[in-house]
Parts: sequence; structure tokens; C-alpha cells
Amino acid sequence: MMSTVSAEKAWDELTLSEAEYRRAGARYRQRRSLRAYLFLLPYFIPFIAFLLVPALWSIWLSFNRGGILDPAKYVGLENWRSIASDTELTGAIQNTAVYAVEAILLVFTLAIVLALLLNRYRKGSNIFKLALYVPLLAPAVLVGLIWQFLTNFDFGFINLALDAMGFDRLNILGSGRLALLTIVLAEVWRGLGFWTLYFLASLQNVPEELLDAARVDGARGVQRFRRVTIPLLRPMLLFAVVIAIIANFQVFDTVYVLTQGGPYESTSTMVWFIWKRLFQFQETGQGYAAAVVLLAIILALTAISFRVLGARRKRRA
Amino acid sequence: MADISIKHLVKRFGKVEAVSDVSLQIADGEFLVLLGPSGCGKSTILRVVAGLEDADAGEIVIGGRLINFIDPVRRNVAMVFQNYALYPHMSVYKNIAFPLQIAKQSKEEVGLAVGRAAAMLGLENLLQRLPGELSGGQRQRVALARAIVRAPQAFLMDEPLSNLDAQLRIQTRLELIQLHQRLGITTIYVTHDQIEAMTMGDRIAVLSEGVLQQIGTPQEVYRRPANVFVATFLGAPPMNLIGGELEWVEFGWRFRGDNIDVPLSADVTSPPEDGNPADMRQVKLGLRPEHLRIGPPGETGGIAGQVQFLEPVGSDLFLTVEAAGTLLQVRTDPDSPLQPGENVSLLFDPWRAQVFGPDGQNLRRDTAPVESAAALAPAAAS
Repeated sequence: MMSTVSAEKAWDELTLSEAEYRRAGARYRQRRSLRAYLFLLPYFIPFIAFLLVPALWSIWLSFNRGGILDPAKYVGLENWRSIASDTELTGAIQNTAVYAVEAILLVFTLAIVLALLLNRYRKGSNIFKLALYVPLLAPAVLVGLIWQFLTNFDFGFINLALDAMGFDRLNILGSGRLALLTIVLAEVWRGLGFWTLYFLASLQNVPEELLDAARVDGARGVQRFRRVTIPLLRPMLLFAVVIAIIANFQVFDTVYVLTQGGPYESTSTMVWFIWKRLFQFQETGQGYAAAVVLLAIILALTAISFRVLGARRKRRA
Repeated sequence: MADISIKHLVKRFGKVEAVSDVSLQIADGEFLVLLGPSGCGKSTILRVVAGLEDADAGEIVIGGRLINFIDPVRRNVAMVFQNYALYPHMSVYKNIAFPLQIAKQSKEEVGLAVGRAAAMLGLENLLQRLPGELSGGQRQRVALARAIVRAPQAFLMDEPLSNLDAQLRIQTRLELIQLHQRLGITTIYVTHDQIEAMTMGDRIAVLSEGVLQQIGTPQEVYRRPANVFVATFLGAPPMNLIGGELEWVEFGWRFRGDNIDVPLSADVTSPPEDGNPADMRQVKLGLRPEHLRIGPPGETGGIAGQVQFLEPVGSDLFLTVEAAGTLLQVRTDPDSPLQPGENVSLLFDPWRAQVFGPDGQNLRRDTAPVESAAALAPAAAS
């Protein structure tokens, strides 16, 4: 309608006034973005219902007593005060941090090495990819049981082997340091396939031509990896670190199956602590408070990762 | 600096033979162009010389050193890639300095060498930029600077100009020629662009399907193509080919075909020893568009034809003429008054014609320079 040219106007005169033009443009853009929001809706409804609302609710409940089976009763900072002085929580944070650093470093190192090998030797690599990926498909409980069979004092494979070779048996899950290490190894084994495939895909994103150029320029394998491959993997590495931090700070099922946080809470992690407060001790307020602490830690670590790994490009530009 | 010998090189990818028994000798300081359509194996040869691919057979000798079994890292050749292959996370300075830093040169040495290379290519003001902030032409210069910075034994260039726009390509082409004249480093240059090949190469090696078709100066390859492939690959529009038979008549060759009966010079091939051999019955006469002249219809020694289309390109007028049972391209004066439908004769100097045998090879097997053929022309035409 608005685009019809009236007969009196010269051919090069605009048909819309400036104000009409702006209005029509705004309407047109609105219509377009409305459609975009409609596409986002299927994601946002569950996001709001199952993540945003519970998160905010948890913050509110951390200032209350009860709230799951019984009505919530406002208690102010009481929950926060009691977890602040709870040595099990500081221990859990420490255990989680130690676990996460060990697990992430170990799984990334192994995964990058395996990815480099798979990238270099393509023949038959599908079998290895499959073998690496299968543990991820196994339920966590099964993984836990497998590691039980490996580490059990009486019938575990490791102890049978030690016995056969004439060494003393190790009470692996009974010693704090070894128990945490077992959880690290179990989770590394479970995550290795995913991260190997992830880094393999990342490596295949590095243009072959750049590595060829570096070879002709005289750079040897390690030099090429350090000076060309790694810098080009930076954005992929950032994503991996963020995802791994988020996932590993929530380690729970392996702890549940293998150690139940023991011995003496030496493998108690943050989510284990939260779970115990919520479902074993009926201290829901403390559980919620600890959950908020976990959220804050994860957000802070994510922000730091972005700064450290993602900043360089911005600074240069 | 060094000479390069490629001896009986074979390279296969699975069952496909990408390079079949190619031998090339490149003199010290020479600029050799490998020319051919995509997939002809020219880039593969370059990559084998660089060490990025292993040869399946054959030897590569650079400066007297057999390099087949030397790691590319230690071959001391520099390569310029089609997509420049600049390290995107390094500044221009670091990109150029990379080969020197890898070679563990001192900071001062690196700084001096980078400064020299940057000055030679006019990059002094861009040293702190990242490759992503440069134009295509500037990236190309950085790639060249990285190649020249460490004075390699040879340059290997893989279609370095193909990503530049037309004007920049002409400009960079000239700069590359100057650079080569100044540095005098042996260069193998791969391209599918015949203009680049003709203007830059000391010699051109024409390849097709992994087989070396011809090697020679641009003049030789253009004027006396070794076979039908070279004849039609070089030249735009390509050489016209007319099917027919060759006959020895009274001390001279005649070419006869559909509506064509023209005398050729005596040296298109050696005279028959006894009668007319059968393999002269299925030959092709090759005539370049610029060697055909338009004459009035019925001219003796001409080919009768009718103008079909006109294609003015500014500097020239290309005519498509139906003659001798086929369509021939003729380059003529852009101011020509010819119109479609006009009858004409096409005339040519017999000594310029090439004749290709049934196997596609040029029947003129002698290696005498083209000039001596010109000297023979009057005798043959009479």
C-alpha cells in the first residue's frame, strides 16, 4: 500500500516521509525478531523452568529452614553461618579443587596426545575412537563398579596382582590420597573418549597448509605443535576448560559408588556435601547455601578462564 | 642458490598416478613455470620437491644433494602457498621472523633480516599488524617476505597470485619478476594461468594428467607446440584445429580436407620416402587465430568461409568463421566492417601452420628454432 507511487509525484521523489519510513522499518524489524524469539522458545521454557527458577529458589531457600517436605521458615543467615564454620565444606571445596585440577590436567594431556596420534595415523583409527568412546556410554554406576573390582582390598585386580608379585596389598579406597586418585582415574577414563574426539576435531580444524608452511620454514614436530597448533587451538581450549571445570566441579556419582565421601570425608566433594545435607541430614538450608557457593565458584572460574585464555585476541585488536 | 634436477619422478595417490615419470632440469637462478590445468600434477611436483609429499619413484637433487630422504625441515627451500599460509596468531614481524627464530638466530640478526625483507616488499609500516588485518595483496607480500628472509636454495611458489584481483595480480607479477631478477634464486612457479607462465617464466613446462607434455621457452612452447594438448591449452582463444589429410604433391605438402585444399611449407614434417604413408590420412592442421587473415571470397590458397559471430573485446575483434567443416576463431582488426553472414577467405602463411599426427604429436619433430622455418617458407610457398 505504502509503496504505491502517487501520480503527481516525480519518479525520483521518495514515497514515504522520514517518520513513516522509520515506523515501517521498526515494524519490519520487529516482525523479523519476533520470529527469531519463537524459535528460541523451545529452549527458553525448560531453561527457565528447570534452571533459572530453581537456581533463584535455591538462593531464597538458603535463608530458610525446610522447604522440601515441610513449609519453609525464614531463618536469616543461620544456614550460611553454620556452613561457613563447617570444616567438612572447606574440606569438600579443597577435595573438589584438587580432584578437578588433577582430572582436567590428566584427561587433557592424555586426550591431546591420543588426538595427535589419531590425527597422524588414520588407518584403523576408527576402532580406537570407538574403544575410547565406549566408557562414556557406560552408566556411572557401572564405571564405579569396574573400579571397585580393580581396587577392592580382598578381590580387586590390582591387589591380586600386587599379591602375586609378592608386594603388600594396598588399601586403595581406604586411604584418603589413593581414594581421591582412584576417583580421578575413574573419571579420566570415562571422559577420555569424549575429550580425545573433541581435540581430534579441533586438530582437524587447524589448516594443513599452515603446518606445511611451518615444516618448510624448518619447524620440527614439537616446534610446530607449540608455535602453530596450540595457539590456533586456543578458542577450542577455552571452551574445553570451561566445560571441564563446570562438569568436574560437580563430580558426584563416582564418589557415591566408590567411596561415599570416605574415608573420613577425604573424598567428600561439593556435590556430595550438598547431597548429604539435602537428602541424608535434612539440613536443606545448608545444602542450598552450599549449592549457591558452588554456583559462585563455577561462575568465578569460568570468568577467570575467559580472561586468561580468551583475552589475547581482544587486546591485540 | 642451486640447480634442481627432477629425475623420473613418479607420485601416486592410491591407484591414481598424479605424476608419471617427469624429468626436469632447472638451472641455477632459472625461473621455471609448471603450467597445466587443475589436477595435472603440477602442485604435487612442487610438494614433493618441498618434502611435503614423498616420491614413489625418482630422484630430486638440489645443488648436487639428493634430498628425497631429507626431512623438509632441513631442505632449505622456501615455499609460497596459494592461500599465503600466514600464521594468523602472529604479527607480520613474527611471521617473517619465524624461519629465522626456528633456526635459532640471534635477536639482532633476526631484526636485521626481517627489516631488509620488509623493506624490499614495502611492509615496514605493517610489521605490528596481524594477518587478519591485511588486504590480500599485503598478505601475499608477507608470504613472500617470509620466503626470502632466510636466503633459501630455491623458491617454490604454488599459484601465489591466484587469490588476488586482476589489477593486483598484474602488479604483483611484475614485482615477482623484479624480485627474481634481484635475488637470482632458482624458482619453480606453479600456475594454471598461461599469461603468468608466458610473462614470468624463463622456461615453461606444460603438464597434463601427470605427464610432461613439453618444456621450452615461452616462445618455443607457443610457436611450436609439441602436441595438440599444448597447442590448445596455450593461447586464448586456442589454436584452431582442422581435420584432414596430408599429401606430398610436387615437392611440397598439401593439406586437404572438407572444403579446404591448401599448400603447406615443406618442413611441416619430413618428406615421404615412398608414396604417401597411411598415417598422413588422419592429421590435424593447427592455425592460431592471430595467424589467420581475412581476404575477399575466392582468393587462391585461402579457406572459403562464412562469418558467424563477432566478439569485440576492445583491442581486438574475434570472429567465428564457419570454414573447412568446422568453426574457426580469427583475430582481426577491431575496426573491421565485417558482418555476420559475409563470405570471406581465410589466408595464412604456410610456415606458421602446425600439423599434428593421428597420435596428437606435432609432425615437425626437428628441434630447429622457429626462425629457420621462416627462412624456408618462400621456397615452400612457391
